[in-house]
Amino acid sequence: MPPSRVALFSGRMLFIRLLFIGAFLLLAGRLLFLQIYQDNFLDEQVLSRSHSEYALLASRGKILDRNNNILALDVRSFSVGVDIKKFKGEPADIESLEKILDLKKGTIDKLIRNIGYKEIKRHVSGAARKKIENFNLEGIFFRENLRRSYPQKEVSSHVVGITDIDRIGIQGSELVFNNSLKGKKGRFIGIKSSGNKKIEGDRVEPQDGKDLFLTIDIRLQSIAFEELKNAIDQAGAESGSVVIINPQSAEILALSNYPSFDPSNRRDIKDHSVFRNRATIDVFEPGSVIKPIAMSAIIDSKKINLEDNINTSPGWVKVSGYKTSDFKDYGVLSLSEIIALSSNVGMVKLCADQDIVHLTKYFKSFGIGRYPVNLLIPAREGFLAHPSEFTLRDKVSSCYGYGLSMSAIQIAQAYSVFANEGIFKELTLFLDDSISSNSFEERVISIETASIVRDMLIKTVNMPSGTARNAKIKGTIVAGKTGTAIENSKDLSYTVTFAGFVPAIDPELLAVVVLHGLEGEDHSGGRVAAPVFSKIVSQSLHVLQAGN
Amino acid sequence: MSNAKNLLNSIDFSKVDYIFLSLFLSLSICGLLILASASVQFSDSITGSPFSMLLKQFFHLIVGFFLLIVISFTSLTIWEKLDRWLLFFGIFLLLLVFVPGIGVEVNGANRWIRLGGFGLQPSEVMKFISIVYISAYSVRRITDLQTHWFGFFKPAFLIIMVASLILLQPDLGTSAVIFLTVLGILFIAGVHLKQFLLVLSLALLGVSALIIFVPWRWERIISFTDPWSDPFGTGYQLTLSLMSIGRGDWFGVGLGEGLMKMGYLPDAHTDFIYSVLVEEIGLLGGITVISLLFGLAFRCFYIAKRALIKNQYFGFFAAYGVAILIGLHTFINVGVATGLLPTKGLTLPFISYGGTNLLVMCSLIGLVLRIDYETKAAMPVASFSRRAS
Repeated sequence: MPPSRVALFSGRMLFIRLLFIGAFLLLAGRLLFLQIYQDNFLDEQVLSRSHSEYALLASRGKILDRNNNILALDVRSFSVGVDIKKFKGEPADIESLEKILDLKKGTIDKLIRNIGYKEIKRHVSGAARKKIENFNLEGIFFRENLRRSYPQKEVSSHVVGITDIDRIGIQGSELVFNNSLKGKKGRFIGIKSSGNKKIEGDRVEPQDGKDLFLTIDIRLQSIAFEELKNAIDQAGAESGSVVIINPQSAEILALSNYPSFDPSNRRDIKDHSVFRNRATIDVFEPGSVIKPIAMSAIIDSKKINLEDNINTSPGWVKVSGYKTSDFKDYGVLSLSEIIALSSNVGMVKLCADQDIVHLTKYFKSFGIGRYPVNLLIPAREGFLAHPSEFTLRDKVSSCYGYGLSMSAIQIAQAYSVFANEGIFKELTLFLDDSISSNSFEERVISIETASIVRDMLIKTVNMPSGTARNAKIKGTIVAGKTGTAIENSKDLSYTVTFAGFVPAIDPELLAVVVLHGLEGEDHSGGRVAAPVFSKIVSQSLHVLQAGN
Repeated sequence: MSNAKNLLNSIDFSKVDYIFLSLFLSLSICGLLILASASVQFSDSITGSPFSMLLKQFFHLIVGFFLLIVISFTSLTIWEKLDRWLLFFGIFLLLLVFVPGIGVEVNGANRWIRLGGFGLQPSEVMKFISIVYISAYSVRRITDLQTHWFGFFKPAFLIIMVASLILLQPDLGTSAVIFLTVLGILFIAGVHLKQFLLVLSLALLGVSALIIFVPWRWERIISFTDPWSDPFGTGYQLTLSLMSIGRGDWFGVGLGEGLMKMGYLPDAHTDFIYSVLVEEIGLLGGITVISLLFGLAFRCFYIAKRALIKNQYFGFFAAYGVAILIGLHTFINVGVATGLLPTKGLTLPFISYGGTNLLVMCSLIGLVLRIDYETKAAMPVASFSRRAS
């Protein structure tokens, strides 16, 4: 071999080797550069993609009535999605999918013309999920959701309240007890693989929320709601409330308002007044239902003998230039007849020489103008002016229920004094004793006074000409009082009320019926509210007896 | 049976290059280990079993060993004599790719032929054939090659044809690797530098045109220069590859503990297996593996030089070809994974998943072992004329 050729070979061989050494050094250098100068940046990038931290949802506590009937609960549901790249469903599969999900034909076909991941439907039940899983379709995935559900719908929505889309309480018991209901979210912190599959990490399990028991009896609540609804429809009223309590325990058994709403289906509601818990929020001039309270003060003032009679002729009286009238000229009336016939003139005459401090003290001790502290759900205190602000006219008006205001719940609370032989008890809506820690009991009137007024209330219902004769219930004795108040003097709309308890001695139930916005003078508490009371309470007694 | 015994007896085991063999074996074992880890997620998602790809690759490796043994028992003269027929056969296979029913289209590329249950990538086979053909040609026409321009342009033309056929699949990476390997052998064989540079620059021009006028190729070039400008689009694969490397630090997160293979990094078991490797066994592991691969190439250089000394010219050229092929594969694969080169799908020899590629690589190892064996067996010679026995 010619030496030049060997030289040629070895020169070129050396060149190739040098190239290789260069290539190796280049690669090694690049790796070192990445490791030394870009390591932090690269590690951050990895974290930004693979770090996974998310909440594990805790089930919100249930809300139940006193007999363990569910009023609100979390329901597990699923969203169904499709990974369009992986999905290879046959037309027949797609059709059955649409059927199970209750979708219009062609919905899925349209969806899978896109790219990536798409949600097919939300709030799919576990049963539907199982059905779909049986098809064994690739590319279909599920995501677990929790949704608040209210099986009693509009019947108990005001007391139970509502949650927002994140299942946080925003109204009613849901709001007040949000903290104990919501439980504690769990957490997952770790590293995930692409496509959000968990790989490893720390998991803190969620703690489900505590159940909440209301004093409500859903059977009574339903009766109250249905009857209230019927009555409002029939009488053409605007709205109304019914409160039923157990006067001895001061527990609220039913609290219904109408109009109401279905908590699960409130997207289309335009009139936001339906959300209002009128029984606790709406305060109004009570009218004649105040009279037994005023009467208690009058009796205790000793300025009058129980045997005294009052002449109410000619059926009207003028005080400070303002005229107060009765329905008709009742003539001479005893104290109990003033209550039973609801004589405004009688009350004005009795009140005229009452001490205003004494009188307002009584009003206040019956809960007027005082916040119902034990209720816990949003409520209003009503209006009661300071004694110094009362003119004579104001004083006599207050004795037949004008110039002060109270809510339906406050009427129930006040009347429980007559049912409880003179003891005032704060009403409560929650069964848990620890919640109602500031339960409040106070003797407001003597047993004697209480029984005198109670007898007057019995007479109001049971005397043939008593204004509340329509409140009678077969087989038991009702004690109660009607109220009819002018709500708006311009268009002459009325608020009619009935408050009463049964049986009159050792009462089991106390109920208040309020209807607002009645037009026309023939609507009175006796005609409209008393029969509703009778219907609701007789059915409730029936249910309670059957249940026990 | 007695033939096999005779054959075994006829082998002089002292004439086997154990360094070369052990480099190959360490790479094969290392490859299986990394693949076992890197293919877990992909294998599971495709076949439902996390280790089915590993088993397949293991099977390929067994067949590869068999091929290696067969080729290392095959006299080099057979290749020298059959070289043109082999080239025709290779071209025939490359054409079959485009025959409907035989050629298989995968992701828009015709790289496969399938007969019965057996799949084959003809472009991979062509790597072996090109090395054999050009080496044989260079031996035959060494004088023409070194003196006449057509001596160089004839094989260059043939190889451009072959490369073009592969380009049609399209597979720019493989055709470039074959072309460069062939040019490397011709360069060693002593073509005139002027001619060589002319062909090389023409090829570079052609490749540049192919890159500039094919939008997705151009996009790759652009994204390679700054992958972080669009990490969820064009820079997706490269940025993930870099993250994977960054995650490995010096010693790696541990074999099997890699994260980026879990559905993040596409092609984690093939073109980007090196990123998984660095993530799991670290920068030092990564450098060890490239060292093994370059070590293999340098051992080929050593074997080639020994062959040259004994005037085994075919062996000399072929061993150089093998070294260049392995070096190119390694440089391009690792260069792509580390963001040094634009994204181009090429396997990492002995490590990446791929049946035909592994078989061809084993065959090349067999060829080099045979070259070494024949070199050692050859009588020391001083004359150019006694080149073949």
